[in-house]
Amino acid sequence: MRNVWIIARREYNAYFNSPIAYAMAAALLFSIGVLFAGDVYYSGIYPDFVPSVDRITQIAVAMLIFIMPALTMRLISDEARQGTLELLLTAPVNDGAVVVGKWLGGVLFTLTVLATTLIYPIMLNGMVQPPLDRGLLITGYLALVLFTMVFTALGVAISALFDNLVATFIATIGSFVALWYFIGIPGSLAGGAVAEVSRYMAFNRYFETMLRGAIELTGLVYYLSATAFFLILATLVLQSRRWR
Amino acid sequence: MIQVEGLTKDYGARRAIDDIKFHAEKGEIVGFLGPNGAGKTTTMRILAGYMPATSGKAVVAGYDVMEDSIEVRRRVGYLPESVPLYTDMTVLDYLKYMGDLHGVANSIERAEDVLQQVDLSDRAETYIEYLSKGMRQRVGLAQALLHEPEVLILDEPTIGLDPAQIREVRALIQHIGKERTVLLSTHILAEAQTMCDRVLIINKGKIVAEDTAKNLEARLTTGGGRLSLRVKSKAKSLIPTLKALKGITDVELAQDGALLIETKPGVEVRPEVARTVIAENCDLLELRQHGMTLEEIFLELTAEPTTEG
Ligand SMILES: Nc1ncnc2c1ncn2[C@@H]1O[C@H](COP(=O)(O)OP(=O)(O)OP(=O)(O)O)[C@@H](O)[C@H]1O
Ligand SMILES: [Mg+2]
Repeated sequence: MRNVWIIARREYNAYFNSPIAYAMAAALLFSIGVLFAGDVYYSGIYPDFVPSVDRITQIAVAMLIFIMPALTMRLISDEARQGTLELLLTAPVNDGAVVVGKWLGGVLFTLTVLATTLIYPIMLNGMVQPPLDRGLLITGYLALVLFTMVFTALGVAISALFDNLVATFIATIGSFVALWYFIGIPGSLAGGAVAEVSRYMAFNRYFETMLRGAIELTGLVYYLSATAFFLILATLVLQSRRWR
Repeated sequence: MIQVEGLTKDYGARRAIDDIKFHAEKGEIVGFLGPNGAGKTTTMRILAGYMPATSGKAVVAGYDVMEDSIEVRRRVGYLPESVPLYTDMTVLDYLKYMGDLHGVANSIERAEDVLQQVDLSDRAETYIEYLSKGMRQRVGLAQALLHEPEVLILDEPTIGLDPAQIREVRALIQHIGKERTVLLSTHILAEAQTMCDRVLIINKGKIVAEDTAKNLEARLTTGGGRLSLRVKSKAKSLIPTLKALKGITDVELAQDGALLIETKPGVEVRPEVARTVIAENCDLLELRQHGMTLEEIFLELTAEPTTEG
């Protein structure tokens, strides 16, 4: 546990030395800001249109799908490339603790960036009457936290697979898009067992419900078990590196 | 402290080390001497708990490297060959981080101590990115010392250092080696001889010879030797006189004007050669014993058993 925290702290701090991390944070803030400004402008012309929180969380998640791979790619790939993985793997630390530490560092950094986007709902709150629905705001951001946890875990697993940052980046974006946009498609097209499974596996379906203010237990369990699954997978991949 | 038996490692179809057996005791500095690709790094990585062997057994500081890898890693200080470092950290932050991972109490003070030992205290706040190769090497060495390990595994610890630093690092390692077990690798015969109590010679994945530095030297000088002699002029006219000297088997004029002298095994001819040169009224510029190349050493050390068997 102690080692997890030591590694997470170093990883978190390392992001603040990395230009990519700042660029990604800026991209997220900027894109949400543009949308937010548009909504505010729109509501000035059409008084019927009320800007809402779920628009902000929705654009945030769409951006995160493309931004997070740039943040998670370095977690293990970069250490493999620089050779520092040899230091980590010869330190008295479990492979599992290395993976969880990396994951925690990545999650905490992404959440820090996400926390800065809270300025938009706060601004919005001062503009609309009646004020924003607090419940929606909380479930919306909870959905983003869960999303960050699952996809960072997957990002670590893919990062453990390659020594090359570009390969890691492309593979990570590919799998994020597949899991977010495509996994639920069979469920919306056909019936039967496959469709049932696909509906259950669709990350974005649970996300949508949370944006509407409801927290499903199945959704919560699904996000948490997927996180655990990807972390175990990442540990196995890291362990297998020792045999190469 | 280190007990290795039948250690074998295959990378796919390539056998990197083959049935290696050796031991190292407390207070002993053991050198791994071998050319490129001999399997030094592979062996050291296995002992440091980085990767498992294909077969065989290795016990380090009382624990099996495959079964109790973590316990072994707690007790081993390891300097990898490429000296990997987190270049985005300062020297002190880096050492504190590695110390924390090794469970060192007061990791900051300990980091400052080891920095003093490797003479880098004035660079504590420098980002590793901006350090020279030799400084990085010393940071790597400091990292290996942080948790006061019983066993030190140093993969080519003096490579990339300037002569003054080499001397310092050798002295440091010898000092450390008094109470600990040190296993180090090198390509350089002289380094193995000056630093190590015992030398293991490894070639193509096999240990071809094992001896104390002293014995090794004796075994090597019993073979024929080679001298190179440089005089100001009239080198050619010296050849017949030198050839006639006792203990000299052959003399040749090399392309660069030096004379190459082959001697019989174990005979010291240098004083006699020098006297002869002076007596012949030639100006002596240089007289030098040739070091043996690693290839020659292997031939030398492995020749005896094969001629008998
Ligand atoms: N990761 C690897 N994958 C495949 N083969 C490897 C790997 N590492 C080493 N080898 C092979 O194993 C053999 C031994 O290599 P090793 O690095 O142990 O030699 P070395 O004695 O350390 O050499 P050097 O003096 O050049 O450092 C070589 O033939 C090398 O090509
Ligand atoms: Mg090597």
